[in-house]
Amino acid sequence: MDIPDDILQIKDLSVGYIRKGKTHGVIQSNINLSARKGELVAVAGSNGSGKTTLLRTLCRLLPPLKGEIFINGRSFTEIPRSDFARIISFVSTEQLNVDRMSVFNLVSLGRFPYTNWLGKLSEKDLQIVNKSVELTSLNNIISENIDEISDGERQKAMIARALAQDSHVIVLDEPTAFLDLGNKFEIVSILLDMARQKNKIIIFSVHDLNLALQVADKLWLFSNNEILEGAPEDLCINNAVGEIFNNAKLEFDKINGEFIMRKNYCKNVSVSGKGNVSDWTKKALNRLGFSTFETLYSDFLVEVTEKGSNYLWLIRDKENETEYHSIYDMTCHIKLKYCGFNTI
Amino acid sequence: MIKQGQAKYNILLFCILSVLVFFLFLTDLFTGPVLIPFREIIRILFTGESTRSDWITIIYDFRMPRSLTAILAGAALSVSGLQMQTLFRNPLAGPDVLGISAGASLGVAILVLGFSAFIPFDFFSSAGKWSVVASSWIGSGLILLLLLVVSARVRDIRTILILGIMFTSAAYAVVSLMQYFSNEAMLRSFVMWTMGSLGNITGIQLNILAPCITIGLLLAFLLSKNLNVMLLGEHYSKTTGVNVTLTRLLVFTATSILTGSVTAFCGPIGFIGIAVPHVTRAIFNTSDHKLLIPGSVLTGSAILLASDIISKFPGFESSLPINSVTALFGIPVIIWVIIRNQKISN
Repeated sequence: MDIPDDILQIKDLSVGYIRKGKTHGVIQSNINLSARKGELVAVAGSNGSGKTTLLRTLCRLLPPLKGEIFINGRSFTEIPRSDFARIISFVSTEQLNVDRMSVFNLVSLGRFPYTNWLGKLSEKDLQIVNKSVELTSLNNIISENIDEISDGERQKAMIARALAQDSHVIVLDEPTAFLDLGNKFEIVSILLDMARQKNKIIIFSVHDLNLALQVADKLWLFSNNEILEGAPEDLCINNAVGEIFNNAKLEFDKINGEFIMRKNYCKNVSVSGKGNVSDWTKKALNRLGFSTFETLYSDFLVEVTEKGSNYLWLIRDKENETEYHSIYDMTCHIKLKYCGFNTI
Repeated sequence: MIKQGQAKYNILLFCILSVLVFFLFLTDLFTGPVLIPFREIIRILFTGESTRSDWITIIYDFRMPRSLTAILAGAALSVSGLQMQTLFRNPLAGPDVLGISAGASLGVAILVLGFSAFIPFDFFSSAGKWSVVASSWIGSGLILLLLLVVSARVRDIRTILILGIMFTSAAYAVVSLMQYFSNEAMLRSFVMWTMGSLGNITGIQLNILAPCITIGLLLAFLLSKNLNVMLLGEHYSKTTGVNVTLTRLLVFTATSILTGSVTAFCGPIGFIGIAVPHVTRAIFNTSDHKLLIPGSVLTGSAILLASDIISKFPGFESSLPINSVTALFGIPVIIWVIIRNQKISN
């Protein structure tokens, strides 16, 4: 086999579910993907495209229907069950509900493959557990019970447990689901640290493509008929990312690399003013369905002026001029006057 | 630092619980219709001599087997319940969720209600007792076999739980059918059996019960590392390297040995198995089975000893059915667990 040592290689894999010994539902077939050590791989794609199925097959929770997976030059089929836990660890989407388990106990369960029959932690095990706790910055709540901490902290504890398992690969199914924006970015930056500092392959599925595009070294992009891989930027350039969610409601902004809601602009506005505030004003007008691009014809004008430490918004059309002290007040007026929302 | 302090605290807890069990054991020996001075009990225990020989007989042949049975049964049922709660990840699971007690009841019902016409009237003589034990064991053993076959094929633990409940219902349906067609005397002896009793055990039977329960408890303790990971569910267990199917088979076997043996000798004793694991978890504030299993052994022994003391409280002519006492203790604990879970999920 000409497969390098430091790589996870998926060859001609088919994933799906087996019922009664027959291949029942093949969800994706002919999957060819790879990842290198030290890389953070984001798995993205629409619902039902087989992300979870692939991740579960990677963790041997589901048998592959066809094809092979190689790690460190060995095929998965050659690795006995007892060794497999040292190769891949897993963090699922499942919300845990365990009574009176401390964060420390949870994280030390990751040492299962290494400890004796009683599960007693050696000095080395303790060190690894403590390091995992440190890297996920859970030091302060190490003796708290996991049913008494926040969702974000619990997710970090689950990640620390996987880290303590000290496997070559860590697979995470939607680690940022249920979390607020701050926690999302914290989790992702922990994952990035783990990939870089510990030289591991971290594979995580994520719904938030904007998030994936910002951090991942590599994207495994699932569409309904094929799976593409490459740097996020590669997949943006060849339009693959844009096409995933390209529909009547959403479009991909190729310049900024983010998805935005598609609007049918009905009227033109010209905005004058400088800097930040005028950009935000444009955003607000876009949100209401007005085009702010420079055109010859405008339905009305908005002028942003600075007055002391405050701002003033001046709306001017053929008939009259009105002044507002916040974007909100301005939008209320615009909605009434130019959109006819009150008639609905 | 935290860990060391915690370890010392746990050792202290084990010492307190052990002393409590010993104290309750002595109290249990002391309570009964015949008043034997406490000093005499100590003397009989440690030297085997007493001023009156009938006191020695009462202590050694009646009260001691009964108290030891309370200790063994309390330990066995509590550890069974703990294992079931962990395996099914359900706080209200108990030793009887698998249908083991129901299987035992069916075995005894077939014997008592079905064949009693053919066996002599002195049913509760020693030969009769052995046949009750044997039929109860056969009943629970058959349920275990059925479960092992099912659990080797069915992957989803919830399906196994539902099947266990179905086995239970089916067994009780047959039992009530048999009750319907049996006469009053037979019915009475069967109902007496279902009320549970710690007092029917002789020294010889204890020689069988004690090793069975020791084996079951040892097996449970050997599984404690796996049980700790099983708390996280099947996916985490598998990806952490636990052989889930084998662990389930072994846990079912341990539970059946423990619950099956206790039910065979004492009848179905309720509530201890559900309630004690929660009390133990609260005392030790941990989910670690290395602590919870020995902890449940001590807590379960203490609580069943206390229940036995209450059941033969002075003033009662004969002792109360043990099940009514354990229910009075167990039900408040179960209500507390339900309310506490409600708070957690909110």
